[in-house]
Amino acid sequence: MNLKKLVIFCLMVHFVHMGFSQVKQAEEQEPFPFSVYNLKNGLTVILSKDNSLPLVSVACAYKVGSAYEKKGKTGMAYLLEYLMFMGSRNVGPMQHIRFIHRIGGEFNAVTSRDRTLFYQTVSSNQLPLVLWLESDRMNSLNLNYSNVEETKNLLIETLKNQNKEDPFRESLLVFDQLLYPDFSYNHPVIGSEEDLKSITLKDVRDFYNTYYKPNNAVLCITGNIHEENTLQLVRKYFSTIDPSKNIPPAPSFKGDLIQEKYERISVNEAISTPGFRLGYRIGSPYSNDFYILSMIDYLLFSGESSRLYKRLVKRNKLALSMNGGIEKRRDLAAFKFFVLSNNEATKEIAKKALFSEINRLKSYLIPDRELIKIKNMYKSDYMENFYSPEKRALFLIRYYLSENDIRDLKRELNKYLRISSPEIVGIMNRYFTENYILVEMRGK
Amino acid sequence: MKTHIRPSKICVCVLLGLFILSFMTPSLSAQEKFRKTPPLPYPLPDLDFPALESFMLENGLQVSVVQRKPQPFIDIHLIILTGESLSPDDLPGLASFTANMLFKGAIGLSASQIEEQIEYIGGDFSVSTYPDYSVFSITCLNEYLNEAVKLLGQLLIQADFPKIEVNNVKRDMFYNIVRNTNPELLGRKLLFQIMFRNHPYEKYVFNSSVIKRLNRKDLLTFYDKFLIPNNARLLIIGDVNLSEVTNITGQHLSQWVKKNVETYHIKPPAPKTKPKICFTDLTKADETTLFIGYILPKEKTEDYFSYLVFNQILGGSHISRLIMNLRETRGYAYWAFSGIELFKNCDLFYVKAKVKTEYLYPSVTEILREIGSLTMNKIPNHEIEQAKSYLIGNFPIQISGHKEFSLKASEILALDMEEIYWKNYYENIMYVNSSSVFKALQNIGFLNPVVVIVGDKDVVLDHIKDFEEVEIYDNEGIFQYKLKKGIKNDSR
Repeated sequence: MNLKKLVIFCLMVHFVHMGFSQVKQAEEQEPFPFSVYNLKNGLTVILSKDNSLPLVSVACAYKVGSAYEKKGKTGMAYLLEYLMFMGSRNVGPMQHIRFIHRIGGEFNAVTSRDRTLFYQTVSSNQLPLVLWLESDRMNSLNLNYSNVEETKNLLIETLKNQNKEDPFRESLLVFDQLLYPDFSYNHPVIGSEEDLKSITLKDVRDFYNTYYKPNNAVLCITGNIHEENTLQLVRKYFSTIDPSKNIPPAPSFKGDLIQEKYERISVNEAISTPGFRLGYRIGSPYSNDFYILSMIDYLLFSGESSRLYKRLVKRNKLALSMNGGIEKRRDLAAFKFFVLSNNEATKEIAKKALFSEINRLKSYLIPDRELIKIKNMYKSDYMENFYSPEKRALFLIRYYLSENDIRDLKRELNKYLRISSPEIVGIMNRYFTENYILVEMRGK
Repeated sequence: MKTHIRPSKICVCVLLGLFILSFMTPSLSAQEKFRKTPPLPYPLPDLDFPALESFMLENGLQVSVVQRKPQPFIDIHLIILTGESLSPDDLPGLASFTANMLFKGAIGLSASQIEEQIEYIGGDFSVSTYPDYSVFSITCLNEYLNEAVKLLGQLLIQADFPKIEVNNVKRDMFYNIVRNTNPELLGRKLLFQIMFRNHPYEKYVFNSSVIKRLNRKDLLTFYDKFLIPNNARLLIIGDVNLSEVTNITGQHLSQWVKKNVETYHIKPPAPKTKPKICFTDLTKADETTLFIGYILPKEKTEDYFSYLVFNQILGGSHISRLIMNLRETRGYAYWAFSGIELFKNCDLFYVKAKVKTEYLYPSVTEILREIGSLTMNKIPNHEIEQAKSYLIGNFPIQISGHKEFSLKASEILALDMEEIYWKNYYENIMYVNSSSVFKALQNIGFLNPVVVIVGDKDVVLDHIKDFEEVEIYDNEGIFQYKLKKGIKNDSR
């Protein structure tokens, strides 16, 4: 053991119970009340009451996303998200949106790699309407040749616009291919033009009948509700919907850390400000390391007093824009950096400054005050996650669909607040090695 | 000859047919009755705002507390009841400059130390300046209320507006103006300039040329005159109680020195006497952005809710008349909405739309026709009720975040709207009917709109020949020349 390692080891032993004591920890109880139920057809229902405003949020998540797509059929999950608004047996095309708008409600939908989520917030007296709408599209989505083709064309148009409007998209695709070598996790959610064109009506029906069923879904209702009445309503609208007979197992890819350094250059003539992307593969989102990595994310990126913002943007003015942090893709996670500079010379200096900040974190303990600061910032953002009915519904679904046990929610925040400075140094040395992905972005 | 089929055979045929159909078309299979039609809503729940409790410190600072439990955050808003409209006439922007400088230093505290202190308490801060008032906001975790108010006290009482930050703030303000290539922001700015020409509110949208004249000496004068406790209101929202707030504010804000404050009454702007069409160029803009504006008088508070309902019907949402007509039916526009900006002495009603440039003229014509049809006749009851249903359902969503709630509360306090908003929002909406909307709209000069067009001149100029007269402005809102039927005319 060399001297530096010995010093770090001694400090770790000395400080391992210090550094967290000054942040007020959360009591070990659920941050808010909630209950989980299962219907006979496999639908999971989560209810959480909050009467502060006369509102209710209903979120319905299907455990399917782009990672479940087959090669040659990318974009399927995103296509289905759009088609879910194109009408069902008792609700006309786009009428779902109209119904929600008419009562002053708001809605949204999002497709990620491992889930597709639909959510709406309305005045709480309109809960039956939302359950009627949501159950109708789970029960009897209207899929026909013309609405599938029309929606495919809309997505292809969106894809073309993305390519035209974002000069950095190409570099992101290259970067992701290197960072996530497995097909399931590295193709874009929107898919490719060629694949979208090849999707048939039968493909879409098969996908819907396999995944968009109660035994592959979680329904979360939060806000001004009466729990027993709400459960009765849910049973009325959802319990007679047939489950899927055959849901394939979720794709799983527990990749290793990157074994060697990769450097690439991505050139796009529309790029006017050069920059770079830097990435490290890190531990699983469900490991204990992840809590410490989240604190490192805050240390580097969160707020105007964060280390990278101060060094690259404020003090040395090396970066025009900078962002990054942890990215989770189901069982995998990466730590990403994105920096844009004025010119090639400042870009090179920015790169050196970034590596020097990483090295500083690998060698020196973080001052107590800075550690308390990032914990407080984390605590604040964490609490913000379930402040409104909509945020709470999304938070509960996210947590339920993770590998974490929802019964552990009461201990979750304290896992972050207990982290010590030596643990951060240890994790920095474990993951921020010489084996990284670097993609430089240049104009022509 | 008639053929008689016995009923039993009919039944058999029908049943057989249905049996076969059930295999051929699953979508036609039987379904529960309740799935066929949308269910009725439950009775409307109450919207109970938590109580607003107030007290006054000896220095004249009025402190209002809203207790919300359980809540992990505290939102603190200091409202200075002076905005950009009281900046000196030759120094518009001074109120914004002063406000932006306040968080940049105090005796013994640098700008970056202030940022760090706020982040240390799990918080953030923001500064906003409006024509009538400015708001300094700090959010923090519950357990740091004392630290947050202490910091606010230091910033107000020991403000030193460090010289080193003057140029940084001026540079940021300058680039925010000159780098603004957002057609919506440019359009809104020009609309504001034209609507409030020669009125104190015009100073709200100052130009980049002003920035170099802003200086620390004038800032200190403005600070001395207006940033005083008896010209301010403090609003604290969170899991706090009155006695805790009384102690903490007494400890940290009672040294803030009271001074004489002059009262100003700003008259509403004079109504426009003729319609005006204005254009500003935005090179390479993909499409054309439109604004149309009118001043709403503030004579009776109940009119405000009639205006809200009218706005909702015209362009308040994705199912309002404008979007249904301009986008869904005619395909002229990508989107078209309307809105109301609130001020102390009048309100601004506006329509904004992004239209396909070739449909610029018909879009303006259609928007004005829609406004005309809503204002010249009584609006059908079903549309009024539909709009009320939207507003009642949507309002709680708008305030469902703690920051959104507290910002709305600070706006209500700054504009003295506690009575109508805080206590009776739902009731006031419920009372609106077709006659009250019709009556309220008769006071507005709908015949004299200000129309602002933002687009690429190489494309747009071909399409504005249809307008009788168009005034051309640069991006700073300075008049350049007129076009009469598309032909340049240098006279104003």
